[in-house]
Amino acid sequence: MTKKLLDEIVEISFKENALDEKMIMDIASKLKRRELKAYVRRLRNELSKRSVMIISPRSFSENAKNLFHQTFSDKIVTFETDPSYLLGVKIINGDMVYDQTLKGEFDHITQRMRE
Amino acid sequence: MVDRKQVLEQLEKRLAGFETDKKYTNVGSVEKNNDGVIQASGLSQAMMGEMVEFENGTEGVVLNLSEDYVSIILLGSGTQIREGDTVKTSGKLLSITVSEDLLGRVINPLGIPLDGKAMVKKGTSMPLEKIAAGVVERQPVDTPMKTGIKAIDAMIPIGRGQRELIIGDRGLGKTAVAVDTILSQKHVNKGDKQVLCVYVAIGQKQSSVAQIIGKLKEAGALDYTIVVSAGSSESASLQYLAPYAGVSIAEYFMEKGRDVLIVYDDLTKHAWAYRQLSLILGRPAGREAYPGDIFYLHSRLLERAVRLNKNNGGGSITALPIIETQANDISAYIPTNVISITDGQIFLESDLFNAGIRPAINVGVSVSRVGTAAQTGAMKSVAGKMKLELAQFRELAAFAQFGSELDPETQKQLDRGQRITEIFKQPQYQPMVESDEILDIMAVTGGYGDDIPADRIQDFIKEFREYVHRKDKKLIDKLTSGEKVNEDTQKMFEKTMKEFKKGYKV
Repeated sequence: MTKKLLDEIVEISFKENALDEKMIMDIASKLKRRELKAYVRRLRNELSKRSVMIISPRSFSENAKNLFHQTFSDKIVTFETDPSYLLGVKIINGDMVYDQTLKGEFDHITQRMRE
Repeated sequence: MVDRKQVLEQLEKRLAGFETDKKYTNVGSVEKNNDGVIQASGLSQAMMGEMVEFENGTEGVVLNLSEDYVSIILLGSGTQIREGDTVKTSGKLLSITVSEDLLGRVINPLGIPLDGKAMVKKGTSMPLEKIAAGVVERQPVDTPMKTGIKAIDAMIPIGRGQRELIIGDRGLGKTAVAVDTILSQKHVNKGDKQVLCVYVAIGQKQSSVAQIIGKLKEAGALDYTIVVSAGSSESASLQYLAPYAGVSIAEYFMEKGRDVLIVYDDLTKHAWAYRQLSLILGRPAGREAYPGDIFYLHSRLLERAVRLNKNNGGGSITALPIIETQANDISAYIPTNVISITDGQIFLESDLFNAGIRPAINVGVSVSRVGTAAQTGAMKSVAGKMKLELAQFRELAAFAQFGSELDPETQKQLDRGQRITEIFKQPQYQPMVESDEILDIMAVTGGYGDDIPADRIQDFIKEFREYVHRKDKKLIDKLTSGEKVNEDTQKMFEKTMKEFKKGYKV
């Protein structure tokens, strides 16, 4: 399978910014084991590129959620709550991690002190 | 007792430089782990040569950037790294912490001590990869780098800032020449003018490195030497990084205005390590399976040997790369590459070695392209005549093999050449000071050894040297000054020699 073809089948595996389950199953049934492995890997990477995860120590208000949806209008936005972050927000946008939490700040300071 | 105020001031200084605004990280995921090379997806912001950190704390360096993934060479063990593990960029290029405390130490290319002592943490962070000094910052080579080996100092002189290749088959004494040069620096200058040395062992046996360290320690040379070792049991990544770590250390001292000598032992194994990495990285293989940038690998390293001008501190890095040949073949891929990069080569030959000529330097094939300009006046004035006589000897010796009867003039030239060849024999780990080297050359080229049998010439010049040291300190001082050998010095020499010969019996 060429890289171009792989790009094309990954592209059609998404429908309105979400995974098209029916299409994926259809494609997967036609692929050989090695091709399927490459497809899954590529799909996972593409999903990661198209997704944004927002993590906060407290649950989000509807207003805040809307604001994030507007900001990342072309991405799949998911929200998560993790009290260990203490304060602030962490945004994972593809392979970029923006850490504005208190825990993140402490970790950063600890690392610097260790250096 | 440290003053409280001083402590607070230091802490404030540190706080001022404290970086707190780095709020984002670029992360990726491990896809493959192949023999110390990791393929990771993500990491879209990774830079070439940037350090990355895996979730178990292992560090790596980005060596390939492609559309879908980046390839990372590991700086530690890769056994704990699994598919799916997270890896993040650090925003830092690979560097090594250098300070004066490193002198006398044995470290690996990451600065981790191998001598059981504490790690040097305080110091300047020097990047391993750096663009070499440009033409504006440089000045021509004009100061000699004494090796303490007669044949080299007289015939193939090396200057500070030069790159002189030591090439030859295995077991011919390439490392010995380099180690002798390090030992020789003990006698050249002292204090701030002391030439500092960096010995980089790449892919060497641990026992060989231990032996060299022992020799340096025994001779008191380890005090001004740093040993960077990536032994044969280390990963290819560390072997690949070793010479760059060595030159980064040398640059730290050079930037402080010091003269540094660096030995790369050896670049053949360095090329092998890079070939191994490149093949695992999936780079296209070229001649002898080396990657296309194998020339650049060594040219960018050796280009960092430099003599800076006064405006830039006046420091220098002299590089002595070593290349191992197979069956004296200097036309192989890596030897020709390095020959073309360096400013000359010292060629060691197995035939000479087997004939008992040690160091087995073939002075016909060996050359120094810039070193002659750095030779002292004293050495230049005596070496010129000797070079001519030796060249004539080599030419005649080839013809003399076919004929039995020779005219007296030819026989005289052959005898003289034989004696010159004889005085070039020098035991290992016994570098000589320049005044002694000049005495030996003057004794033979002046014809004072013509009546001494060739096999006794070594004893003759040794005794003469001792005699001069005992009886004529003035002559030693004259020769040590480096000034051209003038008529007065010549007369002093002749007088002392005649006195010595009166009491000398073969």
